[in-house]
Amino acid sequence: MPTDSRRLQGPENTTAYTLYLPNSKSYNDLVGEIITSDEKRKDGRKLYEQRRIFVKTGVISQAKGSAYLEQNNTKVVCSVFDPREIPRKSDYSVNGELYCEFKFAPFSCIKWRSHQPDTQEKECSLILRRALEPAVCRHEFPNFQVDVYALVLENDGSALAASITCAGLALADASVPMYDLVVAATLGIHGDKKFMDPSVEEEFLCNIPPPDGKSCNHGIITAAFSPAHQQLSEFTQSGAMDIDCVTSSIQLLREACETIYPLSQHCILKSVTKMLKKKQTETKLDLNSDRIAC
Amino acid sequence: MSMEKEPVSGRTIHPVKYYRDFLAQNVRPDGRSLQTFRPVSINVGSIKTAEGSAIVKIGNTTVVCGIKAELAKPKAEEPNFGYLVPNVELPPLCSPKFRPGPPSDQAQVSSNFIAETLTNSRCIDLRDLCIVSEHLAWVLHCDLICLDHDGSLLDACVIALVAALRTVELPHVLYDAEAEKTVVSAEKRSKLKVHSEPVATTYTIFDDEILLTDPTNEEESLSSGIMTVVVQGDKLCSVHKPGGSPLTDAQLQECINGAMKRAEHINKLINTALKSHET
Repeated sequence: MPTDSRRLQGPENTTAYTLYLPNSKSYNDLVGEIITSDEKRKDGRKLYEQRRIFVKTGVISQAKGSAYLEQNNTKVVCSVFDPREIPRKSDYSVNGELYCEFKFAPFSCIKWRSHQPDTQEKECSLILRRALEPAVCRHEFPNFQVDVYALVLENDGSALAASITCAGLALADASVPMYDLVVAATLGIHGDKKFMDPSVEEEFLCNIPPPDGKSCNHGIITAAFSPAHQQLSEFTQSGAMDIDCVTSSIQLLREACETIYPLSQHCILKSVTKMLKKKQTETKLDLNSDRIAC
Repeated sequence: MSMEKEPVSGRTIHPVKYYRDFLAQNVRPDGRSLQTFRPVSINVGSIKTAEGSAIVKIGNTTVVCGIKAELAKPKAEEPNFGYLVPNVELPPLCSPKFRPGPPSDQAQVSSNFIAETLTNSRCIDLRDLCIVSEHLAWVLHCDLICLDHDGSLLDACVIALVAALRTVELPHVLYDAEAEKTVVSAEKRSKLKVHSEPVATTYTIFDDEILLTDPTNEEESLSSGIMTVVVQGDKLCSVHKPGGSPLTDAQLQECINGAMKRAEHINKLINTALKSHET
């Protein structure tokens, strides 16, 4: 890790104290904790059930548009800024650009993350951009770039999907011209079990292949969807799995996105109604009072 | 969808004159008097992945503090001292002023200010963080992330840091020096001892003469000088005045008195937040 001369540095070799916890669990214990015999997960959900989502727009006063999303313990905040000049660019481009940055806060994961973006965060930034680009009307702001910044405050699984949904809402809140809202969902696969919207422990389990050798399917799939146009804008898969597994997963993810979509729509509707009411009261006050002359 | 056109007003064309007109009536555009503080709200312990956390809002300014604990070998020259590493991050998320890339000058100055405040106020004794002299010590990474920059950043950072430090619970560690084996028990936890509670208050000087307390981002950018006073209990801890218009003795004393009164109020707020977190 190159020393960052612009930040206060701690000691070079630190270890997380979680490495020294006494009980290391065996594989069967791990599976037993995550899923009980009657197909119920640790937090009481069924296999294909999503966690409850809380969304709010307009949380950052300095940004043109912003949104905050909470999916149980996963917390993501996203802000979007007005079209600005593209730095380091001289030639004209007919379509505008979308600049996305995804970051985990240093305290958001079980292990402390450094401030400098690592390769995982850079990859997630790219995925975020690919998910949002098809939905934005880029011809409306030629030669400019719209900045989207997503910050994960706490990661309890499905952080990337939550950021995509949050960023879609923030873009709409910033009045950036769009074709549709983008929503995303995550599916974790382990053997013959599929976990919709996995938590951090379930994600950890899905990253290891089942040792009994019956089926080597394991992995995590994140998919972003534009429900109004029935289009899949982004599909990312990690791990190894059969083709049948992938095709059935797409169906499951599509249904999950269709459930989240009305929530996003409702949130935008609420913020637009609030803004219109505010404008109404402002115009009423203007007619009755004198403006301060400049 | 076209972008809404803002009605052309004095605020955008000639902001300084706009402010002068308000200040002549002893009031600010957001309705506050020159000495009123914005409402402060504190929430602790909301981030479960961190050992200690706090979210503070002063008006619109929002700062999140997360504290993560790790283990490391103490420095050779200070064998019974642990580490406390504060860092202030001003991501492009919080304001259009900041661009992606390495920390801006303002972020570096703020990080240094927080580090100095921690040392000056002797808030945490680094010897409390040492587990076994020369072999094992705690490293507390205190990361302050600004989510919304609307002025008085340093005030919010100090409050968030102190509130978060008071919620930190470190697990018990047993270290066997001969076998070089470490055992951590996550269930038995003990609270970190916080010896003092510093509180910072920011003032700006407008037009070389008028003092404004707790400025917003707009007021900070129009001001001719800025000053932060750090107070702990009834003692003055530090005064940070990076250049800017000069102040008279009387004005400085006024600022210090205002900061003392505010510190009482803020400490009560932090205590309430901590109590409701424990229950």
